[in-house]
Amino acid sequence: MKGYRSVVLGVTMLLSSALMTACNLSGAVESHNDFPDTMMRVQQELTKRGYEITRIQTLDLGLEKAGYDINKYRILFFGNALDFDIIQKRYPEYTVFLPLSISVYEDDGEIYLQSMPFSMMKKATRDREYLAMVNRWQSDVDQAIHSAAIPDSLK
Amino acid sequence: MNRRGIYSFSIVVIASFSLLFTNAQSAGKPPMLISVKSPYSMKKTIQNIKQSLINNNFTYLREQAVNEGLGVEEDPHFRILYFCNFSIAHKAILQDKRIGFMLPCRLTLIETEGQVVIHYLNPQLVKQLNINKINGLCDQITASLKSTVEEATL
Repeated sequence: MKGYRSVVLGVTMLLSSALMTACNLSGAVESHNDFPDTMMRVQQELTKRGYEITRIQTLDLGLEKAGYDINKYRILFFGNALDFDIIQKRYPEYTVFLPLSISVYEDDGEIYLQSMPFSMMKKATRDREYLAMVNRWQSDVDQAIHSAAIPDSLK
Repeated sequence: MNRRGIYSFSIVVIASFSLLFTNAQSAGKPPMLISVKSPYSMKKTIQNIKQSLINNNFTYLREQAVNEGLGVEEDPHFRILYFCNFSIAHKAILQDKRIGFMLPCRLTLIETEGQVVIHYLNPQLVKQLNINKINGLCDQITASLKSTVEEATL
C-alpha cells in the first residue's frame, strides 16, 4: 500500500513539473454570429467588463494593400487605464504584453475568436498581484469571447 | 534498509529527478523578454528604429503610447512601435490563423531617468505554443528583430 502511495506521489510530482513548464495556445472559439455581429458583440462584452477598445487593426486590409490576400482578419486592442498604470509603475518590462488583444477572423466560412496566450504572460513572474491581474484579464476575455460567440437565440 | 527506508529513498530519488527535469526544461528555454539598452534619447532611438526597420524588410506602421485610447493622459515614457513584414505575416497566417496575438510586430520603448530600453517579446516563444508549422518563420523574425534593434542602438 505504501509502495503504491510512493508511486502515485512520484508520478504526480513528475506531471506537476511538466505542467509547470507547459505553455499552450488555446484553441479558437467558433462564433455562431456573422463577422460584423461578432465584432460588435465582443466589443460590447469587453466594454461591459470595464475595458476600453483602443484600436481595431484591419490586418486583412493591410495585407491586401501590400498585395497579399487573406480572409477577414481583425485584431482588437483593448485595456483598462488603472491596470495599465499598475503595470507601468510596478512591472514596466511587462508592458510588452500591452495592450491586450483578441483576434477575430474568418476561416473556411466560419468566424473564430482567439485570445492572447495568458499562460505565457503568467510565466513571466510569480508575483501574486501581477498573477491576480492576469487571471482576471483571462477570465474577462474568456467570458467576453464566449458571450460574443453565442447567438441571441441561445442567451 | 527496511521497507520504510526504501520507500522514503524512492520518493527522494523521484523528487530529485522531477526537479532536474523541470530545471533542464527551463534551462533550454529562450528568454521570454528581450531588453536592449539604447545609448540615445527616446526621440533619436525611435528615429533610428524607423530607419533600421527599412533595412530589415519591415514596413513601419505606427507609434503610440502604451496607454493610448484609455481616456487618460498619454505617457511619453512608454512608447510602442508597430511594424510588419507583410510577406512573413501572410505566410504565418496561412499556416496558423491563431498567430494574431503576435501581429503586427512591435517594440516597446521605456524611458526611465533618461535611459531608454527597448523591450520585445521573444518570437522563439511561439515554438513553445505548439504552433509547429511556423517555427521557421519565428527564426526569420527573431533574426530580423535582433538586427533591427542592434542597428538602432549602435
